[in-house]
Amino acid sequence: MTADREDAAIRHGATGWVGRSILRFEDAALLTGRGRYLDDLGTLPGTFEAAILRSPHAHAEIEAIDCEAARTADGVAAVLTGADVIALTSSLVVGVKAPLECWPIAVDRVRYVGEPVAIVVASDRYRAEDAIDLIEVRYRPLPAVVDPAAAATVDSPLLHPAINSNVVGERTFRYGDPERAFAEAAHRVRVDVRYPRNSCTPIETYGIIAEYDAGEDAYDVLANFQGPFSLHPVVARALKVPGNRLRLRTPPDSGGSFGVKQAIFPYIVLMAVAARVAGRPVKWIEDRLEHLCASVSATNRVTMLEAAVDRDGRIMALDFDQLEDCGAHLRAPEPATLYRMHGNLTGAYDIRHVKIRNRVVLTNKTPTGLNRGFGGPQAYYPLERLVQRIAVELKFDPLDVIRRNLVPASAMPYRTATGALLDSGDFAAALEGAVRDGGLADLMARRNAARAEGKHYGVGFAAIVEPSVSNMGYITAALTPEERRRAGPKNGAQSTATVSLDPLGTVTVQVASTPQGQGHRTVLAQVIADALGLKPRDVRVVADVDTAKDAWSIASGNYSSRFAPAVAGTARLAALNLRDRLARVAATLLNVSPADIVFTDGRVAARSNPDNSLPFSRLAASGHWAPGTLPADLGQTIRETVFWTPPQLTAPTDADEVNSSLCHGFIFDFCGVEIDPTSGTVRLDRYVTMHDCGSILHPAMVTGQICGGFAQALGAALYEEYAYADDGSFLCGTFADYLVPTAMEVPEPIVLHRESPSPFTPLGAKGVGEGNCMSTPVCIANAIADALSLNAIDLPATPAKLAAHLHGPEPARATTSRRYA
Amino acid sequence: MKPAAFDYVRAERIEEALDVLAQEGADARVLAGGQTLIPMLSMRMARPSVVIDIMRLPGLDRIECAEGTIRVGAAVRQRHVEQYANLVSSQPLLAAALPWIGHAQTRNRGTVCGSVAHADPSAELPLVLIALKGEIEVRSRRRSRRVVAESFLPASCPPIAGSTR
Repeated sequence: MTADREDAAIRHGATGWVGRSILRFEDAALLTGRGRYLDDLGTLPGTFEAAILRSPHAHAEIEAIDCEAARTADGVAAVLTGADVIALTSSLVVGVKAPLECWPIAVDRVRYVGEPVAIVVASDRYRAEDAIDLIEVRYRPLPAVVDPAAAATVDSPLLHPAINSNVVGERTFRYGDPERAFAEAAHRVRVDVRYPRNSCTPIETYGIIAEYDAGEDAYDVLANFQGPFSLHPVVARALKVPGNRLRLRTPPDSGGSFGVKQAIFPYIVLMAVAARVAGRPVKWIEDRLEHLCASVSATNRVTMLEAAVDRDGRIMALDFDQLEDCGAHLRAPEPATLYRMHGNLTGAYDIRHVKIRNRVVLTNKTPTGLNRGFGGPQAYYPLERLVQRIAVELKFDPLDVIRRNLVPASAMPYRTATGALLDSGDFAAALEGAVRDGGLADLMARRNAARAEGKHYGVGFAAIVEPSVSNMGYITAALTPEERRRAGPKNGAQSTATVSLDPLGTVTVQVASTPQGQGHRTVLAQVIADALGLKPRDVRVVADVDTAKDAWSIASGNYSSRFAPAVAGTARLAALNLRDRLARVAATLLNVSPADIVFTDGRVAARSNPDNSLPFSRLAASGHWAPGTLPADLGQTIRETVFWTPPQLTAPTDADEVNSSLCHGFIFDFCGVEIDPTSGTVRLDRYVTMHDCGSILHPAMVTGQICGGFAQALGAALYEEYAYADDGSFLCGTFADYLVPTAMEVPEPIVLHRESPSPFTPLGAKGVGEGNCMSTPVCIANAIADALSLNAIDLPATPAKLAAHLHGPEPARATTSRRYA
Repeated sequence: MKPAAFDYVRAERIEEALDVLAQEGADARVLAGGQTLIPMLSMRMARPSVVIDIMRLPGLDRIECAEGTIRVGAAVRQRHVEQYANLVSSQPLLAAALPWIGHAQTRNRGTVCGSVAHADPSAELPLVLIALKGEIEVRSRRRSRRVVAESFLPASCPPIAGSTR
């Protein structure tokens, strides 16, 4: 498969290293157990370990905490409660204008099961956990609310009594003339959706080693944090130190994140304070129980979405009512999940009239944060369910409804009603290509044959745009234009890359992209090798971050699929700048003009006379050994750092137009499913996914991203839910309860590509990491709805749910059973 | 996920295991594979004073098959039963159920009797034992007796709170 794609890349005209599926440099270490993850790294002698006492209640007042026995227990150095933490910190900043506090540990009240209540610092984790057992907490339980719709009502229990409602943010938006479009519409079609809570559950949990330097009043934290580094100022503020007194470092390897390791930041605050109190470095490794229960979750969302539709199935207007459940606290950068998709809420469709009501509600559940797809599954599930309902209700082929509404290629770049600038693509051609090359006709024949045998077989579709490279300003759409004016504009997304040459003339690249296994180092080596005429193996790439020494900005980190479009492109710009300066030096040495210099095969030569050349390494070293020979106006040729922010990422306008992301890839998926008539089990018969993610830098890695996202989306569609009981108790504390699909449950999708380079990125690449998390859940749901003729379906589509559709509700259980008598 | 302190006894003779059980009563837990007990210890959901490892007791690792019955010792791993010759013809339901239990790694460690004794209502082996009208041989220091599965299992079903739910 890899070889085929390599051939394809060469056919497409890829002459350099970019576009080829070379072997990943990362893999030799990772596959032989030599990765350097946080827990593998050594600690200073005397480093303590921490354990956290967590709330067993979803909602309760803390009447008293008795830590005396724990403090005097064997090996214990310190015990911290909420009171100890707030004495040394400030509240984490909150992204809406409400008098809300957000502490990383419970203060007087617990609001979700798993909320930290106390921290024990001890000589090792065993003793720390033993001491946790000795802490006596007296709780006064309060009524809990877990359902977002119930939490938004006036008579709901209140989570934060300082504000009079659990609804902590509300905004309405209006684009075009939606009222008129609805008044004139031939049809109205509506869906009501409850998108569930789930998470991408990386195999490596959170890990932190924190130190406090009392002499400098400075914190030094090593954490498997993934960014965005906009959280660095949040943590520094919380720790009450200037930004230059919080040094944040990341380990060389991180065992997956998928957004989840953004939400480690409250624990960075806790462990930094613990290290300060204990007077020595403190290490904390989150265990799986803690992770599932209390790390972070994607948001669950209740959406009512209605469309005004004309006679031909054209969608004239959309009316969204979104109720976003962010859990017990509004943690930065929430309510970003709700606004990340704001510019592209109309998906891949040309819809000019849009009304939106957005509400953010708090409930007695774990606070939410980044998760692969971030806002995409929640937004596209109702939209693509709606498209299917339009087809059913108006008796059209769903494919025709999609075709009639796609943004035409001639309109690119296309400004959506809500403000996104779709950069490139021919959506219709991609769709027709998928229909042809993915074998839709054959799949329809399979459906007909299965149905003729009385089987429950359905086909589903989904067409979406996949946003990437988030605008750091989109989150301010949560504020009113007036509030934004007062706060000052926020926009852009600075990427950084540094290319440096050492005295032996070899090349090192440093980026702040904090990879978690994706292969950034390999792709950067390809990009730099092409720019400097080297081999990828010649280039060393360093991708761990040290905020005290490296170039970084708030947009640094690994999220919003920004590596290929932003980081790799920025590295290329840095290499080209350095190359152009080196070309001037070479021109002097070879006695030709700089325009005549070429970098190829590890040498620098005159284009007109390739024999007139010198080794790249000699030229590259000259900046160290003979700086006096460089042209006086050239500056140094040792190190080049480029900061790149795309001009298209402007601040939200006063009309609330939000260009939430720089790039928009296109995805068109279809699939066939068969439902077992007895058990309700879904069998995925075939899944086809067509992607246009712009220029492809490494075909095998793109396929890896697509297959990985697909596997997690399959989990979201069929298995995974962070379920809570009505009283707020958490029901998914182990992987026996929270079912993640394994290799046995994940079929291989058929992956198809088109390449419409983005005009806005240096390499033409767009992000590709999250698309299937957005398209696949609803594509599978549409297929299930088609198979069982369901008007409505919520995820996960478990056998129990579908069996209820097939057989009606189960009869009430006999109460006379002896089993529990 | 670190267990609370407990004493560990690796019994060499069955009498030794029974003595400790008699002394410690409900505070003792038997370790036979550990695929449930060890995670429960690590999560501090189980806090026994003593854990009695029976995996080295002589004779408990035997499988005996005769005339439509199979007798499985308390230390027999699930994997060994799964790989037992002629299991499909002698015990077809058991053979069909075994591959559904956990996965290969847990079956390599987990024991048949451990699963029966834990009696999780969602587990395959207790269900199979009830369906086949199986019997459990129970021993204490005082006596040995046989209990039919249906009356053994309901009585020992852990309360819902005993699992993570």
